[in-house]
Formats: sequence, structure tokens, C-alpha cells
Amino acid sequence: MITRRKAVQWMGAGFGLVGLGDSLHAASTGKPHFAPKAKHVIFLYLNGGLSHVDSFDPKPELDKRDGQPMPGPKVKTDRASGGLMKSPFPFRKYGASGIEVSGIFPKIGERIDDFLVVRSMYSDSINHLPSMLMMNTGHALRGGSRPSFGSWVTYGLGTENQNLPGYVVMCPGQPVGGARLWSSAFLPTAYEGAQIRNDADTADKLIQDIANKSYTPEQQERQLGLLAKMDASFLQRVGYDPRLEANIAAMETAFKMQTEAPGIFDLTKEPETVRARYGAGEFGRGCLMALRLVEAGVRVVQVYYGDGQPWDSHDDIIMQKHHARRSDGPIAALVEDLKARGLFEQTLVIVGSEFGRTPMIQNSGTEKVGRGRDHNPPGYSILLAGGGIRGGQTYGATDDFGYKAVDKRVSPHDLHATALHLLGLDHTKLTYRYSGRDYRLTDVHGNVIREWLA
Amino acid sequence: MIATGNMARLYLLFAAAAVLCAAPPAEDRFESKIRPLLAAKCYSCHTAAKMGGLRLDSRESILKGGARGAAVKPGDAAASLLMRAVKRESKDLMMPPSEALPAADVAELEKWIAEGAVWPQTRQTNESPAGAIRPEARRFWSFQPVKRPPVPVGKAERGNEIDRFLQAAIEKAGLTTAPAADRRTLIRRASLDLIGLPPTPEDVAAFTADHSPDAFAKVVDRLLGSPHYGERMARRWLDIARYADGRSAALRDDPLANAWRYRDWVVEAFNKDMPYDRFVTAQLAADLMDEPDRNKLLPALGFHALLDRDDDRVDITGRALLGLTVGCAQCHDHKFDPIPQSDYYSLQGVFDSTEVHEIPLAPESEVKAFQEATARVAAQKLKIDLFLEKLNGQLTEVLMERTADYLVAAWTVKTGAAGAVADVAKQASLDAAVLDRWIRYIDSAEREHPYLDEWVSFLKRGGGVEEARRLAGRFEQTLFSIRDEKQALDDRNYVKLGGAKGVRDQRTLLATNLEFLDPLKYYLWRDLTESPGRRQGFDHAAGVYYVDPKEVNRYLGGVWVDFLKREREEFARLQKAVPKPYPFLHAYRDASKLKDARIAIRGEKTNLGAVAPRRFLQILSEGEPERFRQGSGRLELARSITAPGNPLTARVMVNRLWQWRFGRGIVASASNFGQLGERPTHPELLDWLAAEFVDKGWSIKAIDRKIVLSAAYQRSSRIVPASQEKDAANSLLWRYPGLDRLDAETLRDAMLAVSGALDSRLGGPARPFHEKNNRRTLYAVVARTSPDRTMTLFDFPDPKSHSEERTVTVGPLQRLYFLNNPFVIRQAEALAARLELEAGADPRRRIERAFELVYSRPPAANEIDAALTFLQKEPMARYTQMLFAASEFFAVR
Repeated sequence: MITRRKAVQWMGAGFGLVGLGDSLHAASTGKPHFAPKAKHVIFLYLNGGLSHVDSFDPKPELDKRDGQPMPGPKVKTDRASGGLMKSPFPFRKYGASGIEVSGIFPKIGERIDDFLVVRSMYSDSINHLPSMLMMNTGHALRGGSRPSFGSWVTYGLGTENQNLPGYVVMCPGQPVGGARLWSSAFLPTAYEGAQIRNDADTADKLIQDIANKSYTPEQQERQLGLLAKMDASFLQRVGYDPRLEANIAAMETAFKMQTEAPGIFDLTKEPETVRARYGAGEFGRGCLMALRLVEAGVRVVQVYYGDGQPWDSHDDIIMQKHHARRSDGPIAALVEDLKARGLFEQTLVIVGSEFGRTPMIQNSGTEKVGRGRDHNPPGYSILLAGGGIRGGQTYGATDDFGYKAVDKRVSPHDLHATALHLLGLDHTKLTYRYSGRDYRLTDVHGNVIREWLA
Repeated sequence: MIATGNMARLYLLFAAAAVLCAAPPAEDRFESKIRPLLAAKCYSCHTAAKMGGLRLDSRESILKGGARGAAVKPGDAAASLLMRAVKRESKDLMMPPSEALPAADVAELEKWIAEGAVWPQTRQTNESPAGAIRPEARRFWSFQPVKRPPVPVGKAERGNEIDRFLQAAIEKAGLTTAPAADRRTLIRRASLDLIGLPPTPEDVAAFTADHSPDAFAKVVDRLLGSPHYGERMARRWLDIARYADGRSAALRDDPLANAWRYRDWVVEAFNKDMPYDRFVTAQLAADLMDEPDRNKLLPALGFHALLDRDDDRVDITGRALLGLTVGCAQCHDHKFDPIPQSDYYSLQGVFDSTEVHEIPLAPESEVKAFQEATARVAAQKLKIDLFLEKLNGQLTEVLMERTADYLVAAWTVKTGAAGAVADVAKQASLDAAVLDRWIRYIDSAEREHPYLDEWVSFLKRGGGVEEARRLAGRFEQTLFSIRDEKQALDDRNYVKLGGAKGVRDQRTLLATNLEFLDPLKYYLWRDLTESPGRRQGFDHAAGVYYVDPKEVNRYLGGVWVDFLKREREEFARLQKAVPKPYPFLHAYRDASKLKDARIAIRGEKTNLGAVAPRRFLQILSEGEPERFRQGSGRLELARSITAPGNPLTARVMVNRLWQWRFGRGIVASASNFGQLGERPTHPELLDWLAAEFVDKGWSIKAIDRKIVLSAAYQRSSRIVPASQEKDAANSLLWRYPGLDRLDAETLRDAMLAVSGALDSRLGGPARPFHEKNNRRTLYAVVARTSPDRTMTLFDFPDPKSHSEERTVTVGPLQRLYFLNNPFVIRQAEALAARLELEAGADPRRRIERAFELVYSRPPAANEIDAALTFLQKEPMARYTQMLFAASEFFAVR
């Protein structure tokens, strides 16, 4: 006689991929390693490269030396660059913390006491693709994909809402690198980011086969009733098998999902006063959707700012002002609404890019305005908020010009390690065995940065 | 991969700790100061990589020195080369090259040498010297030669040799095996497994009626002889070969229209049971094989040639063919397996000496015709583009000359004195479209420059025509001076870039510092002259004076129009005349320049160390491997891999065959037979199979047949509670493991087969998934950059990397597919129609036929009842849809 207790015991004996209660995220242990601060992550990705010296890392030295060459040996940039260039945007102190923020981000400025401003990020690759892969997967080499940050998190924690994917990625179009940035690689495909184009706002564009236009709900319920009988009779024929039972349980979830998901993606369910604060743009819509998804229990939401690499201001740094105008309000509104809905403390918000921009002007022959900045991996800034982060502080510093992180340097591995820590996961223990080796998001690197923690 | 630096530091910590307890002061200082200093500043180049021939990780090597002689003269710091280098005394010897050591460190080194360069003999260097494999490494199980073990004499009354190996372990563990599977289950299992399609009701009937002792063997032989066997096996191999029909690109693949020729070659190789050694050799070196029908083997080169990057070729060669993670030695010696970094580059050199090329499958004349035709099209396009570029520039200049008149005309229109745009334009002999754009530009809310501010405030406050003329003239003057400034600056930039060549060369453009207009002036210039389009994430309207090439005719007189018309017609004619692209093979050949690779220290391509001669892996060679001498060495590499004495190749392949039949290999890590891989659950059986494989002429079908005809394969999947208690993972195979869900392609193929829609033709170009594509999934386009969502949903592996096994996940998203996906619904409808045709009007007979088709069995009474009840309210197609959605369809027992 096979009892339920026995069945569960067998499951524990190493059936690999399928678990009874959590079949969508089957391989996940579904449990943090220790008490977590955060349960969700919203990663707002300003693809192309936010200019740190024009946003969150003021450099008075650039004002003083505008037009002069940067002291020291000539540094190698991706394209021809000239002398130092002061920021066209004035900085001013905001909040009780008095953190200096550029005038192009006034709304974030007003909320700066909620944010941790990390001014000492660094990365190694001069180009977008490897740098984006590093920021998203902790691995910059092109050959052989690695699982993305979001995939690791959902692998580690599972999802709270069985009726939705655990990891949702929003982008109108595609950032450079595309699906590689949210790939589950060798982790089970269940942990791959589900991409929606947030220029669409209906569930059927998000989840494949979520809706059936030709059947009524009654008809589908009849189908499901029949199916339950068929599955039961199959189970009886082949003898009890816990894996099969798990498989069968998935059908129930599928049907629930079909009924719940469409509502979550319907932004008209938000009052006009809320929607207005996010604006009509794609990024704003993505931020509002992220709020609703986290509210519904989605583990990781990533919002890419736009198609291609919009923040890549090689030609004219003024463009950062225009992009800031489309993102400043939504980011501030998101933090505000997370607070209002009691989600801020359990949601880690990350705002950042793959690298910063050079303190030098870029004036190569591919440009037209000739007032841009080149890629700057040696030093850049990111923002963090919520989910166990101690806001209202800056961390680390770049040199006098903003070229290179010099104090308390932070690599993407450190960011990943600390984010996992906030989620209750030890980055050295979150491993997956593939091709005979235990892989980690942080490879052999990464340090949890205690000063960030609340 | 684990960074060398961390490991070295870790090691040093331990070494230092071990020594510190009782060490005399000099040794103490060596461990606390000198060794860490050498490790941090020197080891990256002066250990195994031996830059300049020098190692700095043992006293002997320091005394021996490098190309310049001894590095250290103990007791005499001044005469020691090392000191001269760190003191940066001469320009050609300054170490470390990046930056000088702090003075304190230099002083430490000086003191250490003066005191006799004490180097405690507590440990050896942490890495074996380059080129040597430690003898104990050779003793690892997978590097032992394959020895055919005797088949155990046991009680396994059924099955074959395999069962006698298995039975020994099963009995030892005190397990009870599951009974034999019933015939319907068995033929369904074998069919789906060997050809990827369910058995037809007729196949099932024939098998259940055949009472001869070799009934199942007959079924297996039929399946092994089916052309669909090759399709099924090829797909497995394509996972390993990371096959795709395109190359990665930013958004979607660059399509490879001829990739399928490799895929078809693989299908045929399996169907013809090509000996595996030949199968491997062809994929590495078909072009170098010396035999009459070499041409038939050339498509095999697609194995590596479909990729445009070469840095995964070593990795894939290692994992796919040898079960070794050679790729882990790209940046440092392999941390766990005896693969020095130099071995990686020995193989890399082989591929560096190889270049990708096309082998046309058409007569040279056809190839030439295509190439010439496409070149003509390109030349004609360039001719037209250059002409238009020049012409548009001139037109802009011409239109700009009357800027003041345009402004005044715009004012006239706006003040309403003289009517519509067209009339005003006509009166002043201006271009109406340009005037219209001017009016809209002035009306636009946002301009990023101040040059029209004066004009706009004049418009606001109002004024007479005199003032309008005066202000318009002033603006015109400003614009002209900006134009002149821009022209002068463009001229200087032109010279800077080295003339027209530089202007057209992206690399020169990127690398040259140029002068630019003041941004505000540029914004005005841009708004008046530039082409429309999306730049830096924003849409820009066409400049006021910009002339669209499509509208250029409007401004042109007779001969010009005629010229352009002719040139465009010529372009269209040339385009039409391009013949169909000629077919070709993706192949490679030895490069004209053969070269050994140099070790990239820490994997950095800018930091090159010693040369690694092209040769085979040391651990798989007896003594020092011999240099490859024939061209790139690909053929010799292939021969080394398939040499009968190679302990890995046969083991790895029979293990894959086992994995494909039982879901898990005897070695569970199918592409890693190294330290970190799993150990074999049945080592003797693995060796027996490997020996049998080679003895049977590397016949895949022979081994596959042996496996499928084992009693183990024919067992029921039913759980035996007592055995489950002891071996829940079923690692001893006391039952058939079953498969929770068919893989993505079998799932789709099985639905097509059952519905009757399957187009079962073999081979040919890859086609995208679409409504009318009813071919086997093997023949659908495999995308590398953005894979098909349904395929991904069912765990189709990412072709961006080598895949050693299919993961099997089951979840609600997959169930949604069965509930709602149009493909499923289409197949359900087709099946309903088929039932009507084959079983007539009686619903009961239709249900019976449906069960035979979909589940290979007759329905039970309660199943018929449930169906009949459902059909009272719903049509047949919604019933057949649920037949696909039910577990019995996609789970293999």
C-alpha cells in the first residue's frame, strides 16, 4: 500500500525536477537560506548607459577643467574622445541626506532619502553586449550563455503566485543581447524570463496560449472535467507515481492562471490619478506594470527602458535630459506606490545601466553634434531602494573626474551577491550542477556589502 | 571557472599557516612577504606561462632564470637581474610592466636576496610544471584503457549480456525488478523512442498477434531500419552539436540557408549506420580524408563550420567527443582534470589554422554568375546613392539661398493677407512644400536653439512687412555664417580623416577627433537640413530644406529626370537578373597560414605567453604527444580521438546511447567524464559496451539494438514499493524509468502523426513554423538568437551552447498550450475528421479508433462512458483535443 506520506518521502529521495506543490518551478527548493529582507526585485534597466557624471555623481573638477585634457596617461576609450567636459546640468542637494542629484532627475531627487546611491560600480568590457551580459548574468564572455540574475532568483525562491510566471521582463522591442539577458541557460527553462513587449498591455501578449477565443468558460470547464477523469484513469492504469501526479496537478493551475492573469495586465484597473504619474510612455507603463506584477506575487520584474540602446549618448549628452524626463517621474512614482501599498520594504528596486559615460567629450567622426560621452566601464553609478537597503546614503566614489571607481569599488558580482543576500540567499550556496560543475551566479567572485543593508 | 589568483592566494594562506608555527625568521619572512609579493605581482606571467622563459615559483627556476639568464644571484642583490627589473633601471627591462613596485616591496626583495634568497622547501609549486601530467592523474577511472570484462554468469533468465551486468547489482542491493511491460506499452515506448513517432494501430495489432519468441526483436529491427530512425537520432546529435539554422546577431539570426545540408548528412549517417569513428572524423576533417567518396562526407564539416566564432570549437570538441571539459583550461590549467592550459591552446592552434569557407554545389559558371550579378547590383546602387547624395546637398543649398523670402512668405501666409500656401509660394516662386515645412517649423513648440527667437517674438507682437523683411534678412545672414562655418570645419575634418577614404571608413571615423559646430548652431543646421529618422531613441522630422530622394524629380528638369529614370530602371533590371543563390556547403579548410596558438595568460588575448604546439591532449597520449604534422592537424586530431586505444571516445558515445534510451547515462554527466563528472553506476557494463562498440566496427545500431533488446528496457515502469524504498532514484534500473513528458519535437510530431496531417518526407531546407508546415519538427528552423516560444516551453535546448541532456519540466504553462494553442486545436480537428472517415458515424467506434490511434490501446468501459457523456454536449474535436491534453498522451511508460 502506497501512502501519501510515503509518496512525499520518495519525492525527497531525489526525483530531480518535479515537486508536488510547485510544479511550475519544480527544481527550486523554493526556500531562502536565511530570513530574507526582500521578496521581490524590480530591476529598472536604463539600457545604453546612464551618464553618472550628469546624474548621480557630481564632479566639480569637470567644471574647473572643462575642455582640458584629463590629467594622467591617455586612457583608452571605445571611440576618439577629447578633453574633459563639464555637465550641462546643474546639481543640487536634495532631501535630509543632502545627496547631490542632477537637475534632470528632480523627482528622484525629492525621494533621494529612499535611495542608496552607489557611485563606485565598475565593469571590464568596453562594449554593450558583454557589459550587459555581465550586469545580467555575471558573465561577460559570449561563448556559452549563463543563467540570468532573475532566473537564479526564481530558481532559488520559486514564485509566490502559481498563476503567473516567476520572472517577467518588459521591453518595447529588444535591448542589445535580447533573450540572452534573461535566459535561464542551463537552468530549467521554467526560470527563463517571460518577455512582454510593454508597448502592448494585454495578457494574451504576455503569456502564450493564455486565452481561448472560441470556447466559452463552460465549454472549457466541461473539457477540464473530462480531462480529470482521463488523467485519473491513466494514473490507475500505470500504478501510483508521484511525478505523474505532480504533472496532473499542473492542469488545475493552468486553468486558474487563465482566469487571473488578464486582470493583472489591465492597467485601466488603476485609477487615472495613479496612471497619470507614470506618464504615457512605454517605460512609465512598464514601471506601473511592475508594481502590479509584484503586488500579484511575481518574484522578479525587469523593465528595460527601450528598444536598442537609447541611453547611449555618444553624440549629444543633452539626450540624457530627454530620457530622464521619461524615466524620472515613473521611477519616483513606483517607489512612492510601493510604499503606499506596503510593498517597499519587501521589494528591492535596482536602477542602473551596463556602464557609465566618460567624463571626456566624444568627438569622433561618427557623430554629428560632437558633444556626447563614450562608454565608461571603469566607473559608474547605480541606485538601489527598498527591500532591506539603507537609503539616504551614497556609497563609494570615483576619482576627481568620474572616470574610475577608486573608493569601495563594487563589481556586478558584488551587486548580485548583495541582492541575493537581501533575498535570503547565500550567493556561494545558490548553485546548480551542470556539465559536472556547480555553477553560481557570482562564479568565484562577489562580496556582500554590509554597509548597504538597513 | 575559478580564477587562478584566488586559488593561489588561498593556497598561500594555507602554506603560510603551515610554515609559520615553527619557522626561522628568514623563512617566516619569505612566506609572509616575498611569496605573496611574487604571487600578486609576478605569477600571472612567470609560472606555467613562463614569459621570457622565466618561472618565479621555485628557487630552482629563479636560479635557472629565463632567456636573459639567472634572475637572482643569492647574496648579491645588485648583480641580480630581478632587482634591476623591479628598480626599472633599463628601459627594456621594467617589471612588473604595468606599474612600479612600491619602494617598500623593492626593499624587501633586496633584503631577501642579500640574505641568500631563502626559499623554504615546504611544498612543491602548486602547479605541475607545464607539459607534465602527474602520474596519479593517469590513474583516474576514465583515463584507464577500456578492458572488455567477462560477462557475469548470473541468473538473469531473460534479456541479454546487459541484463547479466545489471542483475548482479540488483541482486546485491536486494531489489525486486518490475515485471515485463505489456506489449502495447512496449511497442509504444520503442516507437516513440527509436523513431520519435507513435506506432500505428496496425503496428500494434501485428505485434500483439505475433507469438514468436523474437516478436519484439522484429519490431526493433523494423524501427532501426526505418528512415525515421535517422531523423530521431540526428536530433539528439544536433543538441550536442549546438546546431541552428542561423548565426547569432543582435535581434534575430543571420540565416544560414544551407545549414540543413549538415543536418541531412547527420540523418543519413545514422540511417546508414555509419561507423562512429568515421562519423566523428568526417565532422572534424572530411576535407582532409583521403578516399574516393570524400565529397559525400563534406557536409559533415557543418559541425563546427556553422559557427562563426572559433573559441567554442575546442570546448565542443572536448565535451561532445571526449567528455572532457577542455574549455575550462582556456584561462588557466584545468583545476580538476589533468589538462594544462597549453593543451587547450594546442587544440586551439588546430582551429586557428583552419578557416571557414563555402564549398559551392553548383558549376563554377553559376557561382560566378551569381557573384557578378550581385556585385553589379551593389555598384549600381552605389552609383545612384552617390548621385542623389550630391544632388540633395545641392538642392538644400539652392533652397537655403532664399531663406529670407521663405520667412517672409510664411509670415504672409500666417497673417492671412494673401491666402493659401500654394498661392503665396507661387507668387514668390518658392517651393510650396518647403514653405509648408517652414510654417510648421516656426509653429512647433520646441526648438533647441535661440536663432528664431527674435522672429517668433516679432510674429507674436505683429508688425509691418518692412520689419519682416529686415528680420528675415538678419536671420538669413546668421544662417549663412553658420553654413560657412560648417563648410570650413567640414573641410578641415575631411583633411584630418585623410580624404574621401577616411570619410567612408568606419574605423577611421571612430578613431579620429574632429571639430564640431557649437551645439546650438548645429541644432539649427540639423532642423533645416537633416534627413528624418530615429536617432538616440527619438524621432526627428525631416529638415525644412531636406529633399526626399523619392521627391527629387519634382526639382529636376528633362535630362536629369531622364538620367535618374534610366539609372533606376537599370538597377531594377540588374536586380531582376540576379540568379537564384547557388547552393553551397558550410565547410572549412586548412588556412594558407598555419600557426600554433600562444597561451593567453588568464585568458586575456592581449597577454600572450608561450607557444603551444599543435598536438593532442597529453593525458590521452602516451608520453609526450607528437606534434601534428599534416596541415592544420585536424585529421590527426580526429584520428587521435577515434584511435581504438583512446579510453574516452567509445565510452562517451555508448553512454550517450544508454542515456537516450534510459533517460540517464551510466555516467550521469554525459559530457563530463572528468573529476567533477559523475562516476559510472555500472563501470563494467560501460566498458563491455564500449569494447563491443569498437569490436562491432563502431556500429551505433548494433549497440542500440543490444540496449533496446535488454530485459531492462522491456520492464514495466510500475513502482515496486520494496525496491522504491531502497533505490528511489532507480539508479540500478529495477524498473523502466519512464519519461514524464515527450520532448518538444516528439510531442508535435506525434500529434501530427495521429491526426493524419504529418508530412513525413525526409530532408530539405528548414522552414519556419506556420499553419501549413506539417513536416517533422526536425525540419523547422532552429533559431539561435530568439528561439521559438513553444519549443522553449517544452525545454528544447538553447542552441547557443552544447546540450548534453534534455531537461524535462512539467507545468501549467504547458497545459495551457494543450487547452488553447491553435496548433493543438487544428490537430484535434484533423483527428476528429479522420475518425469520421475511418470509423464511420457510430460514436462508440470513433472513440475506440481514437484510443487505438492516440494511446495504442482500446478504451475501457468507463472511458467510453465518459466520452459519450461529453459528446452529448460538445463536438468531437473538443474531445480529441483532450486526448492530446491528457497525461497518457505525453508521458511515456
